[in-house]
Amino acid sequence: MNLLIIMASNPYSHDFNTAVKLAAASLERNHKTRIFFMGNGIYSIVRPEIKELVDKGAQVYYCAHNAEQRKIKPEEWAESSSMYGLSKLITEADKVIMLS
Amino acid sequence: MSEIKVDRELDLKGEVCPFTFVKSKLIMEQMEPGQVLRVILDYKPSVENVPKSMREEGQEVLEINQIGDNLWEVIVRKVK
Repeated sequence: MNLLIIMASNPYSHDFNTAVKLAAASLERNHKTRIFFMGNGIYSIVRPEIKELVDKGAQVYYCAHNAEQRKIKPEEWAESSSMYGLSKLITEADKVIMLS
Repeated sequence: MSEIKVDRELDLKGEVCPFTFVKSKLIMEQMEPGQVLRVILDYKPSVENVPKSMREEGQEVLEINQIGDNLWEVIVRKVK
């Protein structure tokens, strides 16, 4: 399965834990797991739990415009993307979970 | 400036995502395959994402050049 989690929640919201747990469970089941960070969700991309998910095989994308607005500079392992990129990811996904 | 013959030019100074790509795509739709579009951008995230989105659309990105302090040109050939 191809799972896409869209993370748009504010920093320190309970959604962060939900996203991390869901992604970890998905990876354990060998599902293709992608997380897209946008809006205030961008702030969560700098947390170490996300890098751990990447190390386990998750693919991480972020809205470059939202990152620029918030002066967040994601690491190289996160792929710069856009609303167009998100629309592509949604069409490729079997399931999409939106956390906002 | 590039040596490539440009058929259409689009000045997107002051525009940000997603309008930079949307406006480029709308102009691209009016063009014929083989024609070349030059897009002027002054928003760094768009300089990365407009070419990326164009490639995903199947178009050929010929050049990305910085032409000023905070100014870039993206040159794209319409493939389809």
